Amino acid sequence: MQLTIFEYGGESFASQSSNYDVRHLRTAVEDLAHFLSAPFNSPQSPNGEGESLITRLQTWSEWKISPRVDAIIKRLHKESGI
Amino acid sequence: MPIVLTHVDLNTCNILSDANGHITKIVDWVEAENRPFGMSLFRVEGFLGGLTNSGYQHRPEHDEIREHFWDSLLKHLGYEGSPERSEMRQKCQAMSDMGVLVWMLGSLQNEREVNRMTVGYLETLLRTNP
Repeated sequence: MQLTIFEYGGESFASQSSNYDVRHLRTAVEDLAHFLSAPFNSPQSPNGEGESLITRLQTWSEWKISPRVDAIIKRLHKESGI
Repeated sequence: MPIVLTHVDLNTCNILSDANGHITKIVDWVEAENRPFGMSLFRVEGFLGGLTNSGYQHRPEHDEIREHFWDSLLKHLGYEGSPERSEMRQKCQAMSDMGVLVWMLGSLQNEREVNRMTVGYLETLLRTNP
């Protein structure tokens, strides 16, 4: 289902960020951390998402654009547990 | 990592905030999907710098703010002061980097679109050491 957003309820971070000092940025990343951590304790049933991602990452290995990226992908395969 | 509902397009234009920096709303959930936890963590980099004509530039205080983000995140996950904190951070970092790679892949049609600036941006966003 696709919802249409008719009106933004405020200003985006991107439009305000140039005015922010370090204190505001610390507040913003605290809130972001809270938001991003929230789903951790509400897991969904796996449905092949991990395998699908590994297949997509394979494209980077085929392109061989950067030795560092190749090395990181190799490590991610090992450490991600997917 | 658990499979969780993930906001796939969490750039700073989709994060609404007040004048004190508090996040008030997250919008544009059209592409949200279930993914392993951690794949959107790299979006904190949007708060730490931005793309310029000469490539990605960090804010001077990016290291301090990034560490504050990780401290806050691991606290919310229940790993503050835990002996497993370091291992959890490493796992989260790996998933974050996987998020970077999948996100950038989505914006590129083929190998020919990968230019020097793209590689530089990609390598800047990836935080895991090879």
